[in-house]
Amino acid sequence: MLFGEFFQGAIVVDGERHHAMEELAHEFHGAVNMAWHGLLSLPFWLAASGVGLAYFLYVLKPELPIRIGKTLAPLVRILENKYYMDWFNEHILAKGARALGKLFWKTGDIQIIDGWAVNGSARLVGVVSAASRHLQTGMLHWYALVMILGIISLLTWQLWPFLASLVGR
Amino acid sequence: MGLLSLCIWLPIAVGALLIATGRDQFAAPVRATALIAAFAGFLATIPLVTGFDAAATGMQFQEKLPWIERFNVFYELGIDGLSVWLIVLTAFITLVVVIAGWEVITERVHQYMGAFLILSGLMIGVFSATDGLLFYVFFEATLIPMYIIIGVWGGPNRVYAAFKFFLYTLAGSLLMLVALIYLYYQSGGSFSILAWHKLPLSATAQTLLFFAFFFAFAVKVPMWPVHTWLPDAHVEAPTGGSVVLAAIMLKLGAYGFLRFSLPIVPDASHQWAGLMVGLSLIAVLYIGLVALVQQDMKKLVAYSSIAHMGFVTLGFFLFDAQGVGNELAVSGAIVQMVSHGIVSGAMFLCIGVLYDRVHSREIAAYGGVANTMPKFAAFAVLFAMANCGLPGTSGFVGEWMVILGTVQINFWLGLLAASTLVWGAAYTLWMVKRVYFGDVSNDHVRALVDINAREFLVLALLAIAALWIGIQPKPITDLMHTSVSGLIHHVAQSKLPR
Repeated sequence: MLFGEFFQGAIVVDGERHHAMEELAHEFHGAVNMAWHGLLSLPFWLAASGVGLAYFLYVLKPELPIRIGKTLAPLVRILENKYYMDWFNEHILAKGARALGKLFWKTGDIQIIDGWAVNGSARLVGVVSAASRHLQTGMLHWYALVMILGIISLLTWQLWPFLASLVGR
Repeated sequence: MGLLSLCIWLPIAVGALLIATGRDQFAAPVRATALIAAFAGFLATIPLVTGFDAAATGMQFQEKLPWIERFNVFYELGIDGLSVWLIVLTAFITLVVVIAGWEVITERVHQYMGAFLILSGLMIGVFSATDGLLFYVFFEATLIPMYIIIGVWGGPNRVYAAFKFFLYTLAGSLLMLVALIYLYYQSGGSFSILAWHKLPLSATAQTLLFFAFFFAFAVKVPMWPVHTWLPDAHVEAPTGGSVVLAAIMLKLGAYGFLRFSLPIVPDASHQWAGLMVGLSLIAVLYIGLVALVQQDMKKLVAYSSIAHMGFVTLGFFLFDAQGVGNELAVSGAIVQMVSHGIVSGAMFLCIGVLYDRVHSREIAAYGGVANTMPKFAAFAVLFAMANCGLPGTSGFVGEWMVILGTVQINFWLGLLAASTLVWGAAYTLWMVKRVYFGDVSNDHVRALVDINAREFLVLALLAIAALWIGIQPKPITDLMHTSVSGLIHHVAQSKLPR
């Protein structure tokens, strides 16, 4: 038992496995001490002074808050708008995410991936076939000319050393 | 006949019988037969779980028959912890789809039911094949029924979507065939996947094989940037087609990474892990934002599927500094696959319920549905919550495990991955708000009638499954533990020839 008999054995914490709880146990000196310590801590007095201040401002001197509000108008506006966190979320985060999403969708997915890469590759096949179609004229003399030109260039390539030596001589 | 063969061939045989003998005037007996077959098919997968030895390494429920003896091709089946739940999921979703299409499909009922039953058997075949060529045949054959389902019962632009789906996925997997043939020669004439797992391969060969597999599986998953077929296919597919597509067909790709890429080419997997993690995170972040701005509910859930599958591939390819994979992340990714199967299937069914009544998938056509369909809205919100990964639902378990595994490897990667919870909540809840909440927006919504007993049954089945995995995921992870740690151990060993 880590916390004495305070929990009546209802909660047993294994100090070996929960080191953080073991650390806390060093600071625990019984319920009364804990309550007394609570009364001495700063948060308690801050909370209590808040109650006191509210009583002073709204019960004893109710005209004072209006004057304070006028003098510190910018501060009041910031507080009333919750530090503009909602505005930031609405106009920057949400709007920004939607704009970015639209950009990724319309430009990334539809235009680049689908438009250029996917449909573009299909279009490329069409373009290549449209261009290469012109080579098929169906005229035999044209094919014969290409063949002869091919043979000439092939022979030139193969016989180039010999031809070069002829020219060089 | 072994149990796995029964799970594969029972639905295929009944499906073929329905297509061969069914007529439009016999719709009622056709539906009943399909339901009995789907239910029997589901029951047949139960012994796979109850009889599964969680401690055993290697394959279980093995079957081996000669098929094409000249090329050493065997009809060889077997399952391990990686595949067992995917088979149960497949049979379960098929049952759900048959019930969901009960009165919605009125034309060519026998062909519709037959196509789904055949598809179910083929997908179970993919998850249980341990012969490379058999796997390839099943993997490719799944395209045909799905192509027909989209092309025949789909929306107005169904032919475009069906062709896009078919060409995209076929082009990807042709490279896999080349890889399989290369492995066949390298292994001295064997198509056994398990033999390939032990085959030493040079670094160059591994890289080439890795990319051959990558194109096949990445298209199927789908990973960014080869994902654009999915939103089109989902939008045009009938509800049942969308459910099977999201719930199971996407898992075929992810399963391929587990069965082929990681164990066959572990060194290349390490080398290219950065690419895989990068593409997965792009899927999570980029696609999450794209999902946010969708106006079509089906497109939104389709994009959400891509983002969720990004989590799966992320979990698979996380390696620590010593090159050891992360067990939490891999198990989490498999849980995520099962969970996504249930949740995304349910989300598409919910859209189907609305579409059957209003004939629109536009978010703007709805508003205040919860007022007129309270029972339905309760289910829809539950599944939406599961889609955002709410604790207590199945969506949470897988994502949480993957995020935890990612943080163990690299905090910043984990942070990026965890942002999916923010985007997931943003796009899902924004849709829920616009469709279900607020005042009744128009006369169509005012005239809506709440779900009937059949729809209630379908959604309740899925809700029970989603909550069961969310509350008690241990049976799922227990069964896969040995296989996952075996895989991680295997992938950590170099296969470069010495």
